[in-house]
Amino acid sequence: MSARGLELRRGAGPWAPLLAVVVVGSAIVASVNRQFLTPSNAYVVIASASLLCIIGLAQVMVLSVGEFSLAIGGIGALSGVAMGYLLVERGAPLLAAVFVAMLVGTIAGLANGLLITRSGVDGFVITLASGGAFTGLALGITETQPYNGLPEAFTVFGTGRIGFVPYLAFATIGLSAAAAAFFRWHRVGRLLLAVGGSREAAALSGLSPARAVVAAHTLSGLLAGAAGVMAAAQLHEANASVGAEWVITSFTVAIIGGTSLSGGVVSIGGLIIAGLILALIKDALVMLSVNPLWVALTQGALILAAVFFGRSNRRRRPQRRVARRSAISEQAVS
Amino acid sequence: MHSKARGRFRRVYARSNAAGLVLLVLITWSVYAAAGTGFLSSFNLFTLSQMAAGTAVIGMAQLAVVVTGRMNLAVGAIGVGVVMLTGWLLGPAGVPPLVAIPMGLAAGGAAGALMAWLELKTGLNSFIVTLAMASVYSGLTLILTKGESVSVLPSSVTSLGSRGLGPYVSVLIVPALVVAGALWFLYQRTSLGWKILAVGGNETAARLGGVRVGRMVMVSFAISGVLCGIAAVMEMSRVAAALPSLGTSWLMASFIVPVLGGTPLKGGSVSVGGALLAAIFVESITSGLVSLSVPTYWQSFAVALVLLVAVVADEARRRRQRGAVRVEVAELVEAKESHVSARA
Repeated sequence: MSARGLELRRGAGPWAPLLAVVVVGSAIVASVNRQFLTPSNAYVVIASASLLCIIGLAQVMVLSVGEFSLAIGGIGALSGVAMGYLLVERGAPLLAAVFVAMLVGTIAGLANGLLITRSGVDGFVITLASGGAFTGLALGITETQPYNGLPEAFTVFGTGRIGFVPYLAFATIGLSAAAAAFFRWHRVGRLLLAVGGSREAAALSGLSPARAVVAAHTLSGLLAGAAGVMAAAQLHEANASVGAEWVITSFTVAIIGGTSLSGGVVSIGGLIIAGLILALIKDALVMLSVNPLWVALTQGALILAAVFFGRSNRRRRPQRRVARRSAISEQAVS
Repeated sequence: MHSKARGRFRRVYARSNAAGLVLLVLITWSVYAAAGTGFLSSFNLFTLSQMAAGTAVIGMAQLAVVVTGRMNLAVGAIGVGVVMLTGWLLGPAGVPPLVAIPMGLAAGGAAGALMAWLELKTGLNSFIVTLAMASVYSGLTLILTKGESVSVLPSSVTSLGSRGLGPYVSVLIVPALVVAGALWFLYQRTSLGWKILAVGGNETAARLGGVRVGRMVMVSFAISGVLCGIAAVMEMSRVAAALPSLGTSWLMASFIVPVLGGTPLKGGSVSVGGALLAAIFVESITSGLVSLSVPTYWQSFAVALVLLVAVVADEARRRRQRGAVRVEVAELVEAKESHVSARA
């Protein structure tokens, strides 16, 4: 099965050349700093990658239908804050608080999806504004003071490990596997990819692009909520500003992983590899005592290089995707 | 018949969009003024005019790119790059303002043009190119400045920020209006501007019609970069310092201003006046919240929420408008047809 719109990417994505660089680079770093190849460093890298992968996965969800979500950071922040509020101010049981946090994320995503399809305003603008609103809400609730004093069990989840594999990694692997299965076998997952592949064709085939967009954003919100919970677990605190850099990170991981910007093609396996690569690079820069300010610059350069070299796998799309999307939402609404 | 309908469409569309914005601004101002907490004081309105002028230029920087159907996610990054460069030139390097500022603006223009060049050479989406380059530019700026700000600037520059045309209006609206006037002239009266709009309207048709699309995109991005620079210098003069934190909040404003102002993201048409009004509206919301002593941590939420509602409501209005105009045109066509058939 490889109908154009139903593709899970086969073969290497843009991360392939990057992987080669990373392997070589790791050897160099290892020779410079002994700490690099230790289990405790491996733990750091994998823990970091776990969070990066979930953030990227949230973006993959909307990329699959050809949408962008700039609200992932805001939803993550809000979910984390909601959980923190329940745990610290209301003494709620841990599982209930986590559940509510994920629910908050899901509802936020659903709101985005509905707003986009009903109003006809481009997803880019809607999620830009809603992301700001979610972040603002989180800031208002916390009054810019993060929630500390999260329960013991939670911090154990956040920092506990088996050998050098953090518990968090299992959550990531579980969610990623579910996502891969979702896109491969589940009816809705295949709907998302079909719509992402070609909205016109999907609509003409009787599928509902509007429903796909709503589903994509809802799932993205769910994952962003999960990311918020995970971030709070890692940091031992629920912080409203946690999502600030998630936007570019989510795109970097997703795209280096091989998910197409124009929709219809996702790569979960590539996503995981990309997450690991990015975490490794960040870690290597720290190990080499490189100025942390270089991280932002390298991320930007990386995404460009990765997308450029991975271009052969992508379809060319006309620049003005905005026009197409608005036209279809119009259709979907009427 | 045809041109009459088109003329009527344009007038109705433009008039109602601008009228809607004026109404929004008036309502906002009335609400805040009624609260009696000093919204209409000279201090508050002066600050409002400063902020609105800056936001207007930021919005126009994005507008310059949006009219071609692309987007510039690096507005804030170019802004901070220009402000730190100009600040360094004016401060530690002791370069006179008349030299330093044009240099900074030129750097901004070059930064914009570079992104356009990358996009054209690689064929990548402007979203990705500008997203990535935003990281590159801001990262580079942070590295070169080591995160330090420049707070010692020549008084000729800093006094501009505090000077006013009277007690209610800052002198900074002058550069904003000049930029707006220049852009209006560009898009409405020059063939270059017309070609740029053509690229946004239908790129393939424009190319087939002989428009050098690549060149138009580069010009647009260069203009955008220069405008980012202007906004950066304006803010530098306003706060009397070159801060590396500049630009972090620019992205949302840069898109909301054109969108609310009536410049569609898919490109092809433009409303500079609308952008000005939208900037006033956006800053009025914040300014009013400040006058109401709303804590800063609730302000961003309130502003984002209002903007979300405004964008959705605006699109709803636009759709109703389109429906009404379609009916109008249909009636005209019907009249013409019946006229023809009556004759035949």
